[in-house]
Amino acid sequence: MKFCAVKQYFDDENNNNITSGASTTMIPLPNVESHPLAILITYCKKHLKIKANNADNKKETEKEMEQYEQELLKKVMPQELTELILAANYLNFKEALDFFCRAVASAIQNKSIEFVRKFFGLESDFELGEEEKLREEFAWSFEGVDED
Amino acid sequence: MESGTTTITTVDHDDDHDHGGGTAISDVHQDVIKTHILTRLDGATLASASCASSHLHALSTEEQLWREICSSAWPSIDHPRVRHVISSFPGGYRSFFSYSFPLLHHRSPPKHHHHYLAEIISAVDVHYKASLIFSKVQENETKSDWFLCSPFRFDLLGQKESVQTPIRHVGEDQAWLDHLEENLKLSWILIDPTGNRAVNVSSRSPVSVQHHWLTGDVQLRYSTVVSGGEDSSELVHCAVVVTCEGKVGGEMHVREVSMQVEDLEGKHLNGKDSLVILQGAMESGKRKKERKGEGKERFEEFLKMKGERKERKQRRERALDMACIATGLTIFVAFWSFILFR
Repeated sequence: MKFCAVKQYFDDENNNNITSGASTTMIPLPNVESHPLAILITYCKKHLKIKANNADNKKETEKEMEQYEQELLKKVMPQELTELILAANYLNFKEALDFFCRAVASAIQNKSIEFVRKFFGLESDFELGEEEKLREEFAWSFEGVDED
Repeated sequence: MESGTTTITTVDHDDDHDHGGGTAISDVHQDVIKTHILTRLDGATLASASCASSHLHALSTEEQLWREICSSAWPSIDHPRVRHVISSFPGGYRSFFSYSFPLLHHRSPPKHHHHYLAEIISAVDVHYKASLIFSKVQENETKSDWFLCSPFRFDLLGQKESVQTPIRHVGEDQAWLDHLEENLKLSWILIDPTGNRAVNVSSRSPVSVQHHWLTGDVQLRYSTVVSGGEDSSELVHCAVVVTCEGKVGGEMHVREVSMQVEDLEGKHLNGKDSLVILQGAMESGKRKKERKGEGKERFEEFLKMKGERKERKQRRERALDMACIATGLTIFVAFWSFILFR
C-alpha cells in the first residue's frame, strides 16, 4: 500500500459521508513540500508500472526496480534525501521510506565525521573535551575512511 | 472511490525553516533514524555518526544497535555467559566492539597490572565465505599452579573431536590453498570478565596456509605479533592454529583450533608469562582497522627476526666451538712440546 496517509484521508471522508458535489477534492498535506512529493509520485507510478509489466516474474520486477532506483539516485541531491525521507514518512509510503533510508545509509558508509556532519547539516554541539574523548574511543574507525 | 479529479496541495516552506534553507536530520523522527538508517550502518560508520552531534550520539549509542552488529560479526557472543559479561562492561556492546573489531597492534611493553586474571573466556568464530562453520565459547581458569607453570595452550577441540564443514577439498594445489586463505576467516576474542576488557588476538585472515604432504592436513595460522617484554624489540606471537583434514573430493573436517604464545626463539611461553602479555594487550594494546595483508606482513617480519636470531645464536655457538677447539689444541701442543723438548 502506498500513500497510506492519502488513503486514510479518503477513508475518513467516506466514513463522514461527505458527498462530493465538486468535481475536485483537495487534500491538504502541510508537512510535505512539492518537490519531494513530485519525486515520490513518480517513484510510485514507476513502481506500479514495473509491477504490472512483470506480473508473474518477481525477480524481473526487482531487477528493473533496482535499475530505476540507481538512475533516480543519480538525479537526487544528497541533501534532498532528508526531505524525501520526511515526506515518505508523513505519507506512510513504506517502500519509498525504505529505499531512501537505504540510500542515506550507503551514502555515509565509511565516511569521515566531517562528511556525516555536512551531509546532515549538523554542527558539533558537544561539551568541551567530550568530542576528543569520543574520537579517542573510536580512533581506529577513522583510519582508511573514504575521501569526501 | 469517488469520481472526479483530486488535487493535492502542499506548502512550499522555503522561507520558513529556521535551519537556514533545507531540512535537517533532526526533523526526521528519531524512530525512523534508528530503525531505518542506523540499523543499516556497519560498526565504523556508526562510530562516525555517533561523533557527529550530540543528537546522533544519543541515538547511536543504543545498546541494541551495537548488540546486533556484534552478534552478526561474532555469533558466539550470544552465549549466555558472554552476554552476561558484556552487559557489565561500562560501555556495553559498544565498547566490546571497539575492543574486539580492530586488529591488535600492540608494540609497547606490558605495564604493571592491578588485578590478577582468574579466568579468561574465549569466543571463537570461523567463517567460510559468508557462512559460519564453527563457533565456540570456552572458559579457562588461569589461577592454578598447573596453568601458570605449564606451556600455555588453549584447545577448543578434544583429541578425537572434529567438526564437519561444507568446504570441498578440491585438490592439493596452490590455487586451492590461496582460495582458503581468501575465504576462511577466524576471530578469537579473549574476554577478561573481571577487568571488563576484551581483545581479538586473531589476524582475521590467515597469515600462512600450509599443506603437509605426509598427513594430507592443511594448517592455517592466524597469528598476531605483540610486544613480549620490557624491551620493545622482544616480540612474541599469539599463534592461533587451525588444522583441517579431508580427502580430495570430500568435505573438510576441522581437527584442531588452538592457541599458543611463542617467542622469537621458538619457545612456547608458560601460562604465567603468556598471561602477562595477553593482559597487557587487552588493557593497553592499540587497535587498528584491518588493512589487507598487514597481518601477513607482520608475521613474515616476525619469522625473519626469528631466523636472524637463530643465525646469530648459531654463529655464536660456532665461535665458541672454535675457541674451545683452539684452546684444546694449544694445550695439547704445549703439553707435548713440554714432554719432548724438556
